[in-house]
This record gives sequence, C-alpha cells and structure tokens, in this order.
Amino acid sequence: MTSSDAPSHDPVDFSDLEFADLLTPDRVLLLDKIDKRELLDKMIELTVRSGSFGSAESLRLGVFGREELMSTGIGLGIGIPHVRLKTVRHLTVTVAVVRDGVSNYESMDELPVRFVCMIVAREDQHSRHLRLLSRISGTFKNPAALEAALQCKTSAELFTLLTGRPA
Amino acid sequence: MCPTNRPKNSNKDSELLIMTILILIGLGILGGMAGGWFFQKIRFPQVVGYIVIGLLLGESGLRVIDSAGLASMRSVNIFALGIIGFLVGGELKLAGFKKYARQFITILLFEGICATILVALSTALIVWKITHCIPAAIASGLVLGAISSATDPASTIDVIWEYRAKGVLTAAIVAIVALDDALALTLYGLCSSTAQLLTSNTGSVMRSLGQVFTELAASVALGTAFAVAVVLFLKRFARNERAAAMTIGMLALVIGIADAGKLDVILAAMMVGFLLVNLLPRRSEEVFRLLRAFATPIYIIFFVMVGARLALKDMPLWLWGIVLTYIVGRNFGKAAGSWAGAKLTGAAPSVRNYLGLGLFAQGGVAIGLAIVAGDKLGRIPVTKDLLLSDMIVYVVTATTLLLQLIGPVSVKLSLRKSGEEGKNLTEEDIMNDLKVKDLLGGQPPPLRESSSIADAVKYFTRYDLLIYPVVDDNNAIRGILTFESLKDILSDRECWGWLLVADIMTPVTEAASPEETLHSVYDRMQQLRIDQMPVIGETERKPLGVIDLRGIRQAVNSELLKRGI
Repeated sequence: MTSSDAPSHDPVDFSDLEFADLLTPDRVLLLDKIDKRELLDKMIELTVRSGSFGSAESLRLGVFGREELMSTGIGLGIGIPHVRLKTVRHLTVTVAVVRDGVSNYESMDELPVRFVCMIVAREDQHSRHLRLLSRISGTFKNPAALEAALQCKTSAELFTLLTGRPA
Repeated sequence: MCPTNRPKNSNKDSELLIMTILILIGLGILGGMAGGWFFQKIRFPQVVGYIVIGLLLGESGLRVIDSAGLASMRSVNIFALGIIGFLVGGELKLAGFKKYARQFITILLFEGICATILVALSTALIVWKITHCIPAAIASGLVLGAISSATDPASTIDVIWEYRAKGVLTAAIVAIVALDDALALTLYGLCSSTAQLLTSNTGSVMRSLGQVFTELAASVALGTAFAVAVVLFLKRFARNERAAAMTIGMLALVIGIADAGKLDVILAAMMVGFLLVNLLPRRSEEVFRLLRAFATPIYIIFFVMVGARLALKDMPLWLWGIVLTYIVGRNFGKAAGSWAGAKLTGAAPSVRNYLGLGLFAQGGVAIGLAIVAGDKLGRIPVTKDLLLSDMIVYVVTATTLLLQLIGPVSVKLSLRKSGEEGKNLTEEDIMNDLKVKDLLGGQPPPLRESSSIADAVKYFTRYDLLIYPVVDDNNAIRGILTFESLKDILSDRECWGWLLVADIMTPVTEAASPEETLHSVYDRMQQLRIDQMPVIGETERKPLGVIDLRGIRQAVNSELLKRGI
C-alpha cells in the first residue's frame, strides 16, 4: 500500500505521549515476530536493566498477574501491559513494535498486536499512570500512529518518532 | 557545717526512704490496678479491688507494706486526700444544688444523727454488758457514734464516676458525702469532749467545740484564699496543661499548709474545688478533667494503703460483736435517717428509697479520728488485756474494712436501683463503648479487582460510600477504590472498556479493625482528614466493610437516645 492509497487520517502528534522523559533508546525494541510471553519477558528484562525496578520476579508476577485478570490488548493492534508496584523507583516506559504482530495477545478485537507499550509505575503514581494510559490509547486510536511506528526501520528511528529526540 | 563532715548514714537513710516510697508507689499502683481489674470483672466496683490488694499486702496480710512503709507514705496519702477533696468539691455545682439545698441539709442531719444515736446506744450497751462500767460504756458509745456519722467521700464518688451516674439521687449522695465530714467533725468534737469529761474529768465541751469550729473556719478560709488565687491564675493561663499544673501546685500548697496547721485537709481542698467550679464553670471543666486523669494513680495508691493500714490480726474475737452491732446500727441509722429526712422534705422517691444505700462507705479518716479520740480517753481497761482506747481503734478499723468492702457495692446497687447508673455518659464514653464491628451491618459486597470500570461506576451510583474495598479471587483485600481515583478516568469513557478496577485502585494504607473502639478510629480519621476507612479482619485480611465519620456520629446519637441521655 502506498501513501496515496492509504485512507486519510488526522496528523499524529506523538508529543502528546510526553515520552521524552520516560523512554530511553535501550528500552525500544523493533522485532519481526514473537510470542506474547516471550515479548513480555524481554520487556520486563529491559525495564529491570534500566534500574527502575528491584526484582525481575516480582515485576513478572505483577505484569502477568494483570494479564491473567484481563488481556491488556486494547484493540487496533495496541497492547499496554501495565502495573503499579511498591518497589518501582520511577515511572518507566518500554516500547516494542512487532512487525508481524503478536497473534496470541488475546486482544479485545482479536487482531494481532503490533505496538506494545509497557508501563511500570510506583504504587502512589496513580494519576500519572492513568493519564499516561489514556494518552497512549488516545494517540494510537488514530491508525496513522501505528502505521508510522511500523514504518520505522530501526529502534533508534522509532525512539526519535516517539520522543522527538535523537537516539 | 562543712559538707564533708555530714554523716553518711543520714544520706543512706534518705536514699532508702525514697526507694521505699517509690517501690510502694509502684507496688500500690500495679497491684491495685490488678485488683481493680479483677473486681471489675466480677462486677464489683474497682475500689474494692484496690482495698483487698492493700489488705493482702499490708498489716493484716503478707506485711509487704509494714508500718514503716505506711509511715513513709504519709505525705502521699495526705496529698491523695486533698486531691479527693478538691474533686469532690468540683462536683458541688451550685446550679444543681440550689433547688435541693434545704432538702439535702435536712436529710444530712437526719442520716448523720440517726446513725450516731443508734451506734452510740447499741455499742454503749454492749460495752456496759462486758465492763459494767457506765462511763466507759457511754464514752465509747459517744466516740463510736460520732465517728459513724461520716461517709467516705472518696470511695463513694469513685463508684459514682465509675458507673457514670447522674440524677437527683446522685446529686444527693454527692452533696451529703461532701457535707457530712463537717457534721461528723462537729459531732465528734461534741462527743469526744463529753467522753473525755466522763473518763478523765478533764476537758471542756465548750472549749472543744470552739476548737472544732475554729478548725473548720480556718480550713474554709484557707481553701477560699487559694481558690481566689487559682481563679485569678486560671484567667491568665490560656493552655489547659499549664492551668492544670498550676492548680496541682496550688493544691499541694493548700494541703501542706492545712496539714501543718492541723486543719481539715479535705475541707480546705474541697473549698478550692467548690469555688473553682462555681466561679469559673466553663473554664474549669478541662482542668477538672485533667486533674481527674492525674488523680487516678493517686486514688489507687490511697485505697491500697487504706487496706494495708488495717491491722486486724490481734483483734479479740468478742470485739467482732461490737463491730457487727456498729455496722448494723450505722447502716440502719443512715438508711432510716435518709428515708425520714427525704419523706419530711418531699424528696423524689429515688432519694427516699435508695439514698441510705449510697451512704454506707466509711473512710480512713474514721480510723484517724478513733486514734485521736483514744489518746483523749486515757488508760481505762475494758478487759484485763485491752484498753478502751485500743478497743475503739480496733472497732473502727474493722468496721472501716467491712464498710469499705460493703460501701462501694451498696453505692453501685443504689445507683442501679434508681436507674441513674450510666446516665452521665458523654459522646466520648459511647464511642469508647462501641466497637467498629457494631456498625458493620448492611455493607455492599467488596468490588473484585477484575471488575470493569463500568461496574465500579455502578457502585458509586448505587451505594452511598466514597471508598470500596477491592478483593482478589480469594476475597483477600487488594486495595481500595476511591471516588478520587475514579474521577481521573470518568471523562475518558473509552478507557472504561479495557481498564479494570485493579488498574485504578489504590493501596490500603489505613484500615480499621473490627475490635477497635469507635473513639480510636474516629480520632485516627480526624487526624488523617479522611471521612471513610476500610475495615479489615484481623486474621485473614478480609475486608468487612467501610466505616465512615457520618455513620459513627449517627450511631453515637442513636445510642445516646436509646440510653435516655
């Protein structure tokens, strides 16, 4: 599909996400194909490595515990695994784009998930956490946002797209 | 004298004395509390427990507290008597008594004089039967009769406070126990001087009475002077703690001066309390409340020492006959005198029927009077081993013991029978009585962490709470959902479809336990400035509901109404 064939969408303003202070280049993944569990494990590992969290095991329990209650695949190819925990030092975002999509994500519209944004917040960051969830869903409601993310060739390019900063 | 030349022994002695006093204070408070707790459990007034512990530790029991220990505690006891006098004076609010003044004074005279006459006649008769000595019989009858007219204000008022009594009978008991000290001293002055005349042909009734009245007037004057000083100071001290500290200081001075001048300590301190409560009724309220809290350990020590002082081990058996006669005569005299006085003045039926029961307690002051009377009477043998003066001390000691055990119980009975028990409750008392679990009826079920936001919104529209406990599949608490949290996403309805209660709940930082008193949880909520708090079971961490300030206030008001207050 060429850009001229694509349905017209409102222009996407990624600055609404306010990712500049929350995301670092090492927490941006660009993948072709991956299983849900494997993807979430990878993202958890990156989050822990960034130093914002104490133990990978408790983060894993929190993230997968939330997925057990209900999948965080909110439809339109978007997944937002998120958790608030006491041991988190500061709010951290980790992003993955999976070009072929995660087919076993159990998304609400049953479509494969291509853009996954993991949010790990401290227990008392209630309002900030909810605002961030709302901004991500609001931004990616526009299919052009996912389209633009999928066009990125490298993780550095994806980082720049989302934060407006060079990697 | 050069300090290095000071004898070392006197330092050691004073150190030993201080240690003895501190150990006795510690023993007295802790032992007394244990006794009070036990007797409260078996539905006796706590004061009985304090006295029984004193008996066990003292002269009649294990002798852990011996006469030397008791002597070292003298100043503590005098201070306690003064504080008791002050607090009893604080109960005499003129606004409540004016209406009944004539009635109470008539009843006071009737109950006091009736007890005196009955005890004097009956004990004199027994002593005459044993000694065949008319002067000894009359002398002992007069002294015992006069001593029997006094009622112990301390234990009586203690029971009134413990059972939160309020009403016309309570007012009558308070007024009479406060005033009959003066009546008893007058009767005592009159009778002991007559007895002295009879037994030693010395002394003069008029001189003795004059002395008694001078003492009473000087006590009243001393109390009045200090009361004026306290009132003036209280007007300047804004903070209640300072005001209470100043009042305690002033009281210590009144008590010390009265004791040094051989005046009536109770009466002088009572005068301070009486004038303070009537001149500054509102301002003094908090001071009396603080003093009452301060007085609790002093009360306990005082009553433990009352018990410890009673030495009954060596008392001849036949004297118990006089003891029983004294008790029956005194109690019957008080009951009949109160009834007759009440009948004559048209007092309320509760006063007529139950006032006598409320006046049975006899205090440690009676023993002091008996000892002083004994000194006046000279060395008259009743039997070959017993002097009349010792006989009087034994009888008054034994009757004090029995009446201190019977008295508080009968005060409780009189308050209960008249229906005045528990009528002086404040909202704070009710909040201390009720527990969180008493308010947990009709609570909505907790929310599940997997519930949708739409379900959570329904809770807020259906029920009247602002917070809801959130549970997992095992019904264990996971957090609470507050209206504040929900507000953050109320406008973003698109999120409702994929967010869960688990995503917006907040952790439980404060929770009430079902066994916690309403008073404690109310205080915590006020401090935290929150209106509602989840209630969580103590063992399984399961939420039992939500408690809110409005619910607490409603429960307290309906309880006050239910109890007719």
